[in-house]
Formats: sequence, C-alpha cells, structure tokens
Amino acid sequence: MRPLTEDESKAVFTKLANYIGKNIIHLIDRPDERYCFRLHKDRVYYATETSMRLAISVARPSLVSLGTCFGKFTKSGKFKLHIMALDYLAQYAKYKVWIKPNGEMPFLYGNHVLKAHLGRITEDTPEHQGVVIFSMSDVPLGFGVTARSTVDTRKLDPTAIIVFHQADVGEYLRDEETLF
Amino acid sequence: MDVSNILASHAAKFQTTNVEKDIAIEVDPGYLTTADFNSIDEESYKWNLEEHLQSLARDGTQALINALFSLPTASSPEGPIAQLPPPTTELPRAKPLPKPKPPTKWELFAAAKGIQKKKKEKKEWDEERQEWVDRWGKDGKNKQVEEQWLTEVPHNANIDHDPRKTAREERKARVAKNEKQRLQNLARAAETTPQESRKRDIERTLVQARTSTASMGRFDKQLEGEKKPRGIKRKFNPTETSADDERKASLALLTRMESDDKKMRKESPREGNIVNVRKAVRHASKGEGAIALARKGEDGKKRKGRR
Amino acid sequence: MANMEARSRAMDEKATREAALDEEELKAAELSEDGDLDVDMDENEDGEPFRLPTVDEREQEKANGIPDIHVVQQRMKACVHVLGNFRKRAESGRSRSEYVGQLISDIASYYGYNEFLAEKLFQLFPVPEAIEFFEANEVPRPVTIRTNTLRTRRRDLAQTLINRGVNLEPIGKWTNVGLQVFESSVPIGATPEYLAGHYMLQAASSFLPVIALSPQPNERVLDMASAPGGKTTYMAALMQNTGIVFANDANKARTKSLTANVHRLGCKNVVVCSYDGREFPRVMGGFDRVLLDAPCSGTGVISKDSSVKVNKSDRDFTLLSHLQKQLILCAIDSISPDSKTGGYLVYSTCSVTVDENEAVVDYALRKRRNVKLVETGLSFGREGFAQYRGKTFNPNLRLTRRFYPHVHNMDGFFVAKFKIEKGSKRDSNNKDEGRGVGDEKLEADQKEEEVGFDSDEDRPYIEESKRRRLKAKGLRPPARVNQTKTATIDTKA
Repeated sequence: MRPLTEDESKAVFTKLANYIGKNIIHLIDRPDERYCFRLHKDRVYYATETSMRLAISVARPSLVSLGTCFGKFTKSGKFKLHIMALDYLAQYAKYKVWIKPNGEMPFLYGNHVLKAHLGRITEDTPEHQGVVIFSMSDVPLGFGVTARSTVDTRKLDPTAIIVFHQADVGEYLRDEETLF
Repeated sequence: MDVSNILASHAAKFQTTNVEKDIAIEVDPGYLTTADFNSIDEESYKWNLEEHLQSLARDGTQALINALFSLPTASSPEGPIAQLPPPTTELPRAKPLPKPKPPTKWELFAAAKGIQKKKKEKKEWDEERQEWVDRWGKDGKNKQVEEQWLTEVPHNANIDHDPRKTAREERKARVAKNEKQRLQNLARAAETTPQESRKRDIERTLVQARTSTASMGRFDKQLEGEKKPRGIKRKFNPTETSADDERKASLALLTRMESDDKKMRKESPREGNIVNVRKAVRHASKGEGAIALARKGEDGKKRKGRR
Repeated sequence: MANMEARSRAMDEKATREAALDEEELKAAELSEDGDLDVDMDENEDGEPFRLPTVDEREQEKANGIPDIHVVQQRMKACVHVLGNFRKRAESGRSRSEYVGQLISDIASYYGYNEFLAEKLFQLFPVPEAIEFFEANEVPRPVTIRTNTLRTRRRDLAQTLINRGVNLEPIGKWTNVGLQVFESSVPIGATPEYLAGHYMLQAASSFLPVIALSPQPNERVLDMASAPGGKTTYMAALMQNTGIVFANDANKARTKSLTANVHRLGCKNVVVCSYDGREFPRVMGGFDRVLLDAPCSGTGVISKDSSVKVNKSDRDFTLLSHLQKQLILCAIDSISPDSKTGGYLVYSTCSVTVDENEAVVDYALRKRRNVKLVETGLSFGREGFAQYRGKTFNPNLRLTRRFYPHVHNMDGFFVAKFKIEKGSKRDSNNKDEGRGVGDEKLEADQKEEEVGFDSDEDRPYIEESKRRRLKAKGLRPPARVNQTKTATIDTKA
C-alpha cells in the first residue's frame, strides 16, 4: 500500500473528472472525515485516513482491500474505473441517464443502452461524455459514455446506441474473480 | 528557655538528608546518575508499590544531591554552579567496533619481509635555512627545486630545458603513482575474485548500454531472458503521511489540471521523464504517427507467420 | 405511502396471527401425541406385534444389502414408541441399549448418515425430538434476505420486490431487516436491486450472532472468519459505515466474494484481510468487539450441504474443536478489556454438537479468568447445556443459545456472548500458559495449590546471597552472625 504518485493521481483524476467534473474536490476535501487514495496491488482504494492507518499493520500479502476500490492500473499504466466507484460517481454525477425497466436487464448483462430503453437524459449532455446510468426508480446501475449529444439523440432510430457500456453492477456477479 | 522540643518537632517534619543503606548508593555526578544495588525489600514492594518506588527514588535523588553539594563550585550570574567531574561509568558503544582495514600491497610486502613501519615526521630539517620546514604543502621541501629563484643548468641540457618544469612533472608523477596505488589497494580490498569483478563490469556495461539508445532505452524490445536492472529502486512517498499534506497536493494538482488542460496532456518535464515520447514516436514512425507504426509492426508479424 | 404502511401492518398482523395459530396447533399436537400414538400402535399390534430383531438378524440384514425402506420406517416408529415408555412397552428380556442401537442404525440407513454422526446427533435430543430433527434436515430452510439499511428500508425493498413478482413476508419480530421469500418469479439473486446492493441473500440464523454482538458506531470490530460477508456487511450496516470493521478470512479464494459483497452493499469502513485467525492478536489487537463464527462441522446446515452426513468422522470433530479452542483464545486476546463501549466477543457456529459449542466455551472460560458469559440479547432459542452426558460445564452456559431446524425453522446454530473484563495480575500470568492449547497437563498445574514463601525460613539463604553479592562487587561484607553460619553449614550438609 502506498500513496499515488503525481502521474498516477493525474490518471485517476482525469478519469473521475469524466463523470463528476469539478466535484472531485468534494472527494478530496471532505467536511466529515479525511479521506485518501492508496495504491495496493495495482488497485486504487479510497478510504478514510483512520482505516488506512490501521490497515498499515496488515502485511502486504495479506491485505485484500480497504475502503472502496475505485479501479485499477493496467500493465500499460492506464487507469480503469471499476463498478465499485459507482457510489461516489452517482452521488456527484454531472450528467445522468435514466433507463426504462425493460432496459435494465439488457444493460446489467453488459449491453449498450439503446434509444428504445432511454427513459430520461440530462439536458445538454455533450457527445462522448461520461454519464452515470440510473433505473427509473433512481437506483444507480452503472456508467458509460454517451455516443451522441442530447440534441442528436432525438433524430436517431430506436435501435441506435445512446450510451456505450463501461461498467454495470452485474459485474459483481459476472467478474467477481477478476474484479478483486 | 528550653527549645529542644521545638527543634525536635521541627526536625521531625523533615527527613534526614543522610541516606543509609546496606550497600552505599553509587553516585556518578558526571552523568548525574545514581545506582542502588540493594536488593528490593519484598514486603514493602508488595504492600504499597507506589510508596516503595517513591522512597527508592527519593533516596537516590537525595544521594545525588548530597554529592552535588560536595562538589567545587564556580560563581556565575545565575548563582553558583557545581563543576561536574568527568563521568566514571562506562557506557556501552552504540555501534559495533569498526572492522580493521584490509592491508595494502606494501603492508603485505613489508610484513613478508619483516620491515618495520617507521613514522615519518611531517617536518624536515633544512640545513640551509637552519629551521624545520614542512615535507609537503605550501613551501614544502618537495617543492624546493621548482620554487628556487636560481637553478643550475647541466652542461648537456637541451635548449628548451626547464628545470622547474621537470621537477614539477616529476613531483606530479609521484603523486599520480601514489593515487593509482591507493585506488588499486581499494579495489583489491573490495573484490574477492577476478571473476566477480568481471561480472560486475559486464553488468554495469549492460545497464549503460541499455540506456544509451536514442530513446534512453524506452522503446527497446525486451530480449528473452533479459533481467530487470538490479539495484535501481523507485521511490514513493511514505504510506503514512499527513493527510493534510496529501489533500493539499491533490488540490494543487487539480487546480493545475484545470488551469492548463493542454499543457497537462503533455508529459511534464521532470526527472524520470527525460524522453519526449511524442517526439520519439514522430521520429520512429518518420512523422506518420503511432498508429501507422503499430500497423507496420503488425504487417511484419503477419508476413512472418505466412512464411 | 399510507396505503403501503397499512398493508405492511396487515402483513405483520397476519404473520403474528399465523404464528400464534401454529403454536396452538403444536401444543395441541403435543398433548394428543401420546394418546394418538398408543391407539396407532395398538392397531398395529392387532396385525403383527413389533419384535426387535436380534443381533444375528441384524447382521443378516446387513449382509443382504439395502433393507426395505418401509420396513425400516416402521421399525423406527416402533422403536420410538417403545422408548417413549420403555418399562411398559418393551419386550421382556431386551435392554434399552438394544432398542437405541437398532434405532440409530435405522436412522443412519434411512436418512443416509454414517453411524458415528447419527449417534452423535441422536444423543443431543430426547428420542421423539431426535426424529423430528433428522426429518427437518431433509427439508430445505426458507430463503431469507436481509435488507441493506445502508441503501434502503425494508418496507421500500419489500414493495419493489413484490412489484417484481416476489412473494415475501418479514421473518419475525426479532429482526427488523429480515424478509422471508416464499416464491419468486425472478431469480432472487440477480434482480437489479440485488446487484445494486439493496439486500443480501442470507440465512436467518446468520443474523443472530450479529444481533448478539450489536456493534456500535465508531467501534473497532473484527470478524474473524467472515466469508462470504453476510455478517460483516450486517455489522457495517449496524455501525452506519463509521468506525472500522476488519473482515478476515483464512481462505484467500473466498475473500474475493467477500470483497465483492462488501463493495456491492456499499460498506466503506471495511478492511478485508486474509490471515489465519490464530495469528490475530499479533496482527492487531485492541478491538472493541470480535465476532468469531468459527469453522465447524456444519451439522446445523445438513439441509444445505448433505455431504456432511457421511464425510465427518471422530477425528474431524477432534481437529475442529481443537482449532475452535485455539481461535476462541486468540479472539479473546484480540479484544481490549479497556474498551469504553464494548469488550464483547460472540462465538457462534453452524453446528449443533456439544464438543464444538459448549465444550469450547467452557474451555475458554477456564483458560481466561477475566472472561464471563453474558446474556446474548436474543429473545428466543434453547438454553445451552450446562451439563451433557456426565460432563459438567460452567453453570453460566445456560446463557448461551441453541437454535434447531425443527424448532425455529432456521439452520442449527449456536451463539455465546462473552464480556471481557480487565484481568488481575494473576490472570495475565495464566494467559501465557494458555498458549499450549488442549494441554491437559497445564490445566492440572493450575489446580495445584499455590506455593508460598516463608521469609523466616529463607533468611539464612537471603543473607548468604547478600554477602555473595557484596563480595562480587569487591566490598567487604559484614561478619556472619552465628545463626547464619549454622544455617549455611546445614545447607552444605
């Protein structure tokens, strides 16, 4: 376990900024408790300072996880956001997409969001913008990247892809082995 | 008037300053310490531990203060100050004894021949000046020839003969030789076998060669069985830093990321990032970009497969 | 919303009414049981009176291979009947142990247990109840889920699941987060709500140790064997994501699903680690509460995993109880007795045997004097055994709780709650002795009366050692007194 280097934090912050924009500040500068980012076995964890300090006494091979895992660094040094970060993304998301109940299961099986399943979308969402996907009852289901801007989606046919799938909560079941 | 009663009651209020024990308390005023070697009285230890410890501490302190008052004093603006004698207690070393230096080549030779070591004085007697002069250094004896205002020139001397220069060169050569021998001695002490030194040399050369390409070894292909260079460690911040500092650093990074988006996309010029990757890619792909380069590489592989 | 409340209230009422009815029925059945059975058996006797097979016949039956199921069933029934009132109903000249032996071997063949385990479980209960127990092990327990209070409320969750076509009801009064699923048209482990972490599939019995532990916010809590994380996440939820929960599991492969569950349910105060539980006070101590859900034989969850019926032997039980004893001592040592809010340990197993439960608890009470049993805080469940088959345990073992499949309709379970208090000096000495777990010798040592010192008797030795020390320091010791002289001579002689 170690703090991120500057390059690593930059990679993490740019990824997060895709979804929550300037709200990252709320993750770093929290009023309730001090939180910090830590790297352990290529994975980035976001935990309170107290739990991090206690976890230091756990030996490196024995420590599995602490706080919330945000994602991992690939071997080529890129950062990949995991579904575990959804809690914070949903809390601070700038752009949101709601999908209809009939679109929930297809999305949870790892498919892209089609226009037919689109329930609502934040106004003036630009193209290629990270969005958090909710069910109609405001349960966060995952996140992805918009294929078109809000304006352009109006002209599309119902089978067109609106949001490219990046991660969904179904991964807790599907990718349990590789996620952690 | 009989004051003995009052005196006695007054004396009873204070404990006597004399400390009497079976074994006298050892005081070392140099370190301001006392050592009480008496065995612990089990009864009072068990009866009331706190009181027992306090009385022990009191006795030791009293003994120390008694010793302090018997020391010679020097007056100072703050009042008299006792002059502590040098400490008598021997403290153990904090570090282990240094290892003896390995013998030099000359020392080995001298030992074999039975040559005794003679100590050379730093000063030498100068007959002419009738005084002691330094052997070396400023106005040293070894520089006498080159610093003379008048030097005799031999008969068969060349036309460009410069006695000062020759003397100086000779002296410099002697210094150089000595330095060489010193380094050789050091090297001899460090290495165990010639094979090992050879291996080390090769490894060092290899590491140098790896980083001696145009991209500082960044785009070189890893050979099969090639090991990572050893002994090069990356340094990270300690895990346990103050969260406040961390927060500040992150916030600073964020503001920098926001302020100049374009600049941040480029690699920041810092140590460890000596290579300008964009430039290197441009150079390697002859200006066509990374994608073209990758495609070319794939084509090559495919062709190989077909053969 | 008001409508929903009314509905849920109606649901609760219905459940309580039904429970009351069930109880009445049970009581009525118990009352009438004796009479009914007698009549039954009389009829049977009209046709052909029951005769216990002799030893030879049994051997023959064994040699013939698998006996007829109906015959075995009839014989079991008859044996139970006879054992119910042995003096009146037994054949003359046959002993009680013969009947019991026959019954056990029949149980083993009828339900598919090995004889060792059948006997072990049979001995736990009175005869008719034992049959009920074995019968209950054949029936699966109801599917139950636990609401994740970090994400939602039980009423909201129940409503959404009902909308998805799930038929459910609250489990009981003792928990306010549990829901029992009767039938479902969708896979209950793959609904969007499940994936979003609104609930956890969790057996009702595994609520109990956490309820007993009742972790408070801002505490430091340890779950020593936590996979797959049902209890850990429940603890985190009770602590409202404050403080810290250490979730440990010795099996590294199982920590993956544990971590997945912890993240899915949004528990942010959990540190997952993978140590052998016995390493624990050395890794970290000073916990306010520790939950030890010890690895066990699983005799309480036979309905879930029937392989237990045949693969457990005497040696397995010895090894397991040894491990449990080591673990419980480590758990006790990891708790800080100075804790302001806690200092509690909950020991639980999903096993019903005595040597994994009461024996382990009793062992811990003997080894650690600063530990005592307290009320578990569970309103139901049977009391633990204070004595069992000639063994007498600590009388406080009545404070522990046992749960049975045939009584409480949940997995067989055992819960004990300890309070760790500040130890006196002598207790801390005992602690070090406790390292050699299972050493009967040490226990014997403890019982030995204390050796005292007689300072008068030892005076000559003390004087002599003082003199020797003075000499060693190069000082002149005071002259010997006569008395000491004689004493030293004595010692030499």
